[in-house]
Amino acid sequence: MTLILYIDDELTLLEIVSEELEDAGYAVIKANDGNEGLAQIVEHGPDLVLCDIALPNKNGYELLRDIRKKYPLFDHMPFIFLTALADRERVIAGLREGADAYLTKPIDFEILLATIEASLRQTERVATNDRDFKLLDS
Amino acid sequence: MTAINAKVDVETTPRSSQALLEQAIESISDAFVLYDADGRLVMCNQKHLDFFPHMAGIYRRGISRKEVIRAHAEVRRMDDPSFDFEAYFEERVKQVLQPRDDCESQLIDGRWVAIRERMVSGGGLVSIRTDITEKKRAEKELEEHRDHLQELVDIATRRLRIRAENLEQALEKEQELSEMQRQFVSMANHEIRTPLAVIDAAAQRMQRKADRDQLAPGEAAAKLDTIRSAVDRMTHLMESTLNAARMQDGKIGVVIEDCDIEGVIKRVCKARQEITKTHLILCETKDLPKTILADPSSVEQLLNNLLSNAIKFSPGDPRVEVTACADADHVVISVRDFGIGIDQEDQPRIGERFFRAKTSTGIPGTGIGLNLAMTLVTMHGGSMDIESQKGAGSRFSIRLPNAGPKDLKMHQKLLDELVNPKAGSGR
Repeated sequence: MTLILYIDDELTLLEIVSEELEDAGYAVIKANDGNEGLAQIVEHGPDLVLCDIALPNKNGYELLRDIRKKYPLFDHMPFIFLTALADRERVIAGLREGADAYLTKPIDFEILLATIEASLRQTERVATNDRDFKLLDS
Repeated sequence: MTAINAKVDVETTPRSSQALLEQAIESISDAFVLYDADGRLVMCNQKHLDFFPHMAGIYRRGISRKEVIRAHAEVRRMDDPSFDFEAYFEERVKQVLQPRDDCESQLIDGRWVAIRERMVSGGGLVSIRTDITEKKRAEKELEEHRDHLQELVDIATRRLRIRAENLEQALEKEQELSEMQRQFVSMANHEIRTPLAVIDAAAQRMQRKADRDQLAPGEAAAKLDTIRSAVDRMTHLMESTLNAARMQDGKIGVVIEDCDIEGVIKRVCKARQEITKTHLILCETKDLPKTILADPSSVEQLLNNLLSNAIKFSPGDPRVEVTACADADHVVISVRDFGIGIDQEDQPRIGERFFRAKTSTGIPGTGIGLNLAMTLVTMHGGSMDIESQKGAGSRFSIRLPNAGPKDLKMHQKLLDELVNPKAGSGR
C-alpha cells in the first residue's frame, strides 16, 4: 500500500485531509512540524510527502532542502507543498526549491488526489526506466 | 610752520629747472624724500613732512639719515618707555644700506604707509611713501566680511547636514514600516486562507461522504462544529484587522459604560475554550468589583487577542492561565502561557504595529493583535505589562482603572505612537 506522509501544524486540517487520503486507498502518517516530519521520513521512507510551509521549528522549505541535500536515498520521493502561502512569488520559489508540485489552500480534494496520482506515476516511470536499463546491462 | 629751504627756493626762483623739479615733486600725491650719496637729505615734499608731524624741525637740508633715524627713535622712546632704542637704531642703520622695496609700516599715529625706496645713479636714495590707511581698513573690512560669510556658510552647512541625517533616518523608518506592511498583507492572506481551508475541507468531506451515502449524523455534526470554529476564528481576525485600520483613521473610540468585568472575562475564556482543542484555559477571578467603567466589546477584543497569542505561541505546552484580581482602584488581568517566550531585546517593541518578534518565526501572524490590544488598553486609561523569558513563556498583564479613562491627553502621545508609528521616532 502506498504510504503518504502529511505534515501540517493545523490539526483540524491534518485530520480531515488524512481521512480523505485514507478513503482514497492510501496509508497515512502525520507530523506537526518540520523536525517531526524529517524524523518520520527517515524512519518510514514514505512514497510521497505532502507538506505545509509555515511550520514551527523547521519550515517546509528547510525540510525540503534538508532532504534533497542530506538524503539522496529519497531523491525519487515526490514532495508536494500544500500551503496557504499563495502569492505568485512563493509558488515559483517553492517549485524552484525542488518541490514536485505546489498546491494552495483551500484545496479541492479532487485536484489534490489527481496531483498525488500524477506524482506517483512519475516515480513509477523512473523506477521502470531503471529496471529496463538494468536488464539491458545484464 | 618751519619750511625747509627747498620750499623757500621754489618760491623765490620759479624759473630755475631745480625749482621746476621741486614744484613737480611737491605736486605728486605721495610723500617724497631724496638723500644724496653721503646719506644727507637733499629735499623732501610737504606730504613727507605731514607724515611725521613730530619731526617738525628735524627735517632740513643736509641732515644725515642717521640723525633722522635717531630723532625718530627718540620720539618713539618718548611715547613708549619699553621701546628698544638700540635695537631699532641698529636695525634701521643696517637698512639704510638696503633700500626697502615695497614694505608696509605703521606710523605712531596709527596711519599706515607703504614705503618704496630706490637707489639713484650716483649713490643717492629716493624714498616714496603712500598712505594706505584706507586700503588697510578696506582690507580688514573685507576679511571680517569674509569670515562672517564663512561662519554663516558653516552654520547653514551644519543645519543641512542635520536635516539630511534626520531625513535619512525618517526614510529608513518609512522603508522598514513599508516592508512590515508588505509582510502583513502577505501574512493576512495566509491567515485568512487557513481557516477557509478548514471550512472548505470539512464541507468537501461531508459532501463526498454524503454522495456515497456514508455520512453519519454524528460525523456531520462534528464537521459542522469544525466549520463554525473556523468561521469564528476568521471573524476575530477580520474584526482585529478592521479595528486596527479604523483606529489608524481615527474612526474608532471606546464607548465607556458600566462593564461587568468578571462576566466579560469568563465569557471570553469559555468561548475560546470551546474552539480550542489543544490547550486548557484556566480562568480564575478574585474579588473583582461588580462593574468598572469600560467598553465591554473592546475589553473582549483585547482579551481575545491575548488569549489567541497565548495559545498560538505555546505549541508545546497546553497550559494557559487567565487570572484577574483587584488592586486598589484597578483591575489586573493576566494571561500567562508556557510557550516560546520573547527575546529580551524584542520585548520593548512588542506592541509596535506589524512587529513580529524573532521567536515568532514559523508561526503565522499579522503583527497587529498586540498593537490593537495595547491601543485599546491605553484608550481605557490603563496599561500593559509584559514579562517573558525565551523558552519559558510569557505573561501579559493589563491594568484597567475602575473609573475608566480620565484624562486621555496624558495617553495621547502613546496612542499616537501605537496607531500611527511615525518615521524617525527614534527606536
